[in-house]
Amino acid sequence: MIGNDIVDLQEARLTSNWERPGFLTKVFSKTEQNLIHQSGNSTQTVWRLWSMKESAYKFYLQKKSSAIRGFYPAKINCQIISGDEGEVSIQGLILATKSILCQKYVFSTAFSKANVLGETVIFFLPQNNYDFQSTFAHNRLLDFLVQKNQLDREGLELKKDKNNIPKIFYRSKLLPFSCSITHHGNYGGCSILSI
Amino acid sequence: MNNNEKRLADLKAIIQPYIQNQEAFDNLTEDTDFINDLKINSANLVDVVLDVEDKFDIEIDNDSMDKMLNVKAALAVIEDKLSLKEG
Repeated sequence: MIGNDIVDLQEARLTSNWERPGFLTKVFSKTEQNLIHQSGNSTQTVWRLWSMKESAYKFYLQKKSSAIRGFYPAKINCQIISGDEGEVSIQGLILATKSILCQKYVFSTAFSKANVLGETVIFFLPQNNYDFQSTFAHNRLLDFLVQKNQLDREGLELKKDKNNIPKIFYRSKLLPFSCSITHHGNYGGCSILSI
Repeated sequence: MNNNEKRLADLKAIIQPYIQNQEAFDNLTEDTDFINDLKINSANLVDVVLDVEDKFDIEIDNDSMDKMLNVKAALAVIEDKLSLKEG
């Protein structure tokens, strides 16, 4: 299992005002709010913690196929371990996270502590339009698999299950990979883990 | 317009700025899912909840927010919180 999430910081500036009254308390615990206020870069910390929660939620939906979707960011608890490492607790599961923080975006991956991180590719999206982003990101994931595994691109197909989890098929046979796709604004990322 | 229609119209006005799929919005029903159908970014789902609180002057606790993934669930939460307010 693997979950990922990206936040385009420019897009977030334009479309999400985390400073509006009530926003932080709906999303973050008191401890997390303290981390945000004490941070030298509050905006980056907000979106780092957010992407840790989102990626953990995506991991959880993969792990538990009977899971009921819900919107409960404040019930997912984050700890920052180091500059890029974190730990997230969701529905009794403890996951490790790794984040990439740069000026353009914040990207996090959530993975099992017993497992390896998997592989990730992050890319620029030339058009900020939902359908374009979605198709572009799907194709990037398949290209990434072709490149890593010497597969024939024509035989590869991506389908999403009822919880929106991407599954990869090769010549109609399910491949043993967990994957996660994310896109926001002008940035996207795909993560793959062999299982 | 009865109360239910009025609430649905108010809710539609709230979510409109955040949608990323116009066709699903034009064909909105009670079963329309905010994320899967309207492609609302999950961070903007927080804005939807806050806008609903402001518009209806209600407070939405985290357990109620948890369920607010589609039109039907959002209307039920609004109804529930308004009835508490009217006592």
